[in-house]
Amino acid sequence: MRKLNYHLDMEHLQKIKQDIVPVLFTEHQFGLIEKKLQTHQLTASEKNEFSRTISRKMKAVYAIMDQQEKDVYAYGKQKMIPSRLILAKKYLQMFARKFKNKHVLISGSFLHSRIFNDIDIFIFSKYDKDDYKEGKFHINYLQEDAHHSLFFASLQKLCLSNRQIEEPLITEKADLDTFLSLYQELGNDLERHFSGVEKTLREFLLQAAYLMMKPLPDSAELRLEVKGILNTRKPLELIKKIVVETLLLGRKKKDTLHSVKELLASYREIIKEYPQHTAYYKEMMEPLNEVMALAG
Amino acid sequence: MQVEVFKEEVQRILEAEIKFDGHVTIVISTLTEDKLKNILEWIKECKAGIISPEPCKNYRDFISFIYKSNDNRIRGILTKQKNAFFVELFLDKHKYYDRKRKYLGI
Repeated sequence: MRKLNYHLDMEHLQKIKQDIVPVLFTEHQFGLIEKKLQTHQLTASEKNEFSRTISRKMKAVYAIMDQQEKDVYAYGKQKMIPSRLILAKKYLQMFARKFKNKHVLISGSFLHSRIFNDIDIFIFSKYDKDDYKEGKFHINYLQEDAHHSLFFASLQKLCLSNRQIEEPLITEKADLDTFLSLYQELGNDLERHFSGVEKTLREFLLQAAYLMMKPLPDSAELRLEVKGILNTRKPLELIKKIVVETLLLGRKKKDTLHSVKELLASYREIIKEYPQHTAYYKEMMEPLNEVMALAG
Repeated sequence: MQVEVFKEEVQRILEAEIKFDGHVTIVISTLTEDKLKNILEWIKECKAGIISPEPCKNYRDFISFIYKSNDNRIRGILTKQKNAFFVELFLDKHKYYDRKRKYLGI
């Protein structure tokens, strides 16, 4: 059904609505197509209806019209710059030829932003290989299990792919412990003004969205959020708010409060050994103390 | 700098016999002198208490110092027993660093 994203956009769909409702789709089904194109999360029953009826009808229409473009699937097309989409299709076919029988994706700011550093090409491979640059292209190798990661779940929302992508099943370990670890790492990155802090912040925001059971942001949304936070005078203040919200309202583990309590105790011990860093640790402890105070 | 020389220098700075983990030999033998000096500088700063360590949630007796190279290719984790001596230096690529970080709980 993802093919739908590639061939339609909202504006066109609205224009042809009177021609296809109710002849081809019911009003309700049309609403579902709109929802899907806007990358809104569908409920389980809506997904079921989508695959049982809408998807089948669309496939039939495409078959009649013979409109399928070979091995190019675009997701989140409405957010892409049209001229970039045309170029990206060309690049995708070029890299799909180069990396035969591999799943190849193009994603990143090249698709949706006027300003971009390089063009991100993702290659799924059985083997671990180092990323490399080839002119304006940044070749990123991902191992097959990355198909089940939060990173991929976000990536596939706005990308060009040489394979059809089903709704990813996330098996990556993402819980309050991994989230707290990312918070620690983020605090450390910000404290040392580490230039790669954006990557840590992206992971942190993805885990926060996942734990809060919110729709995962696509790469354009994530980029905006990361830039927004890092452009504030005190990024850690916003991050601390996200920590409190996620720990209090997110998917719970039985021993959430116990984990928070233990981390607080560890910070207190470290302060005794490294009193020169008290200000940093106290700041890191703030949202954890707030969680302890607010938890029911 | 030769691998053994680098390791000896690390132990001299930390005043302890430590373990080395990760693909340390490959990392050391492929880095430039300047990049190795940066790592040694970071170790000196860890020893001097200039850098703030992070608690290891999975091993509560340990704390860890995190190193990330500016080009984001090499990561390091220097582990120390709380209120005691340094025990291990891990140096490797990003992917293995993530595994080690999850293992330690940082």
